[in-house]
Amino acid sequence: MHGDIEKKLEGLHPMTAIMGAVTISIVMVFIPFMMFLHSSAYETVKQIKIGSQLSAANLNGSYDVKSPVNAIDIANYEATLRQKLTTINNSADFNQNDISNQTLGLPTN
Amino acid sequence: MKIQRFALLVLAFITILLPLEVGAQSVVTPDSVLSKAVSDQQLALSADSKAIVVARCVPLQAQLSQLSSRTAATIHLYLDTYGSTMNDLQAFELRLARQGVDGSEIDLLIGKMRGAMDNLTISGSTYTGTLNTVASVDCVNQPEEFVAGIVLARAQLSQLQKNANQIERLLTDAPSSTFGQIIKRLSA
Repeated sequence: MHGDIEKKLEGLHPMTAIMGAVTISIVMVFIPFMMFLHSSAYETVKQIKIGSQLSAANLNGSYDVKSPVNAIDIANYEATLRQKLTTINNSADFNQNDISNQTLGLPTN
Repeated sequence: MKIQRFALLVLAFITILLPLEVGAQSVVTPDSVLSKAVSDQQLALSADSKAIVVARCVPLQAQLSQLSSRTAATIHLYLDTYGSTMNDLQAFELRLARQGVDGSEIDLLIGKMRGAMDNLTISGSTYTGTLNTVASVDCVNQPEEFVAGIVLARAQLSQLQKNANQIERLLTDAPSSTFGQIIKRLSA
């Protein structure tokens, strides 16, 4: 009887070994996955995804994708695009002066 | 038997801990970005400069946080504008394909725009992220990190502006590079 207990203690049950290996594998996959979810790379991926979804959603809406195109349609669109681009002002919106030492009142040397 | 079991257990622990250690080293925390910036810029503030930075730091942090939010909103607006333009172009491409006209120039423009929009998103995210990090440093104990973060943000803003100019240039050049060819084809 005593010998039987000792044998049981000594031998590692295959099921236990398999469960152990599976648990270790899950932990090894889970931890890097969580690290990725909390990384800045994932934040960027999310932003790009939102942009793509917006773009796809817009295309499913009120866009004419069937009628034939004439040269005049393209010329009209050029004018629309020019108008649209007037709302873009890179140098004012991303102005280096916003964070210059002089603007922030920081030492310049 | 006991030794074998112990050895297996140690091996399992090493197998788990080694990738974790490597992963932890490769994770870039906001603090480590600023510490690296201080070291890269070999920044050392004089006592007078440090006093000015410490005094100005807290009100500037609120200002930088607002600037970050404003810039993020602007980038979102830009992406909406370019995204809707890209949809217009895709719609034109589909219509041209239906009538059997080659619209490969539009396809090329859309591809370039997509790449430029991704660059704009990434550089915008990096810049606003740095501003937020600078806005949360410990003003009393990390004045060097504050200044180094501002210098870093300046370089990132320059990159952001380049990316924004790149995508705008694609569209301002579109009449000659893209639309002109298609108009010729449709008029022939």
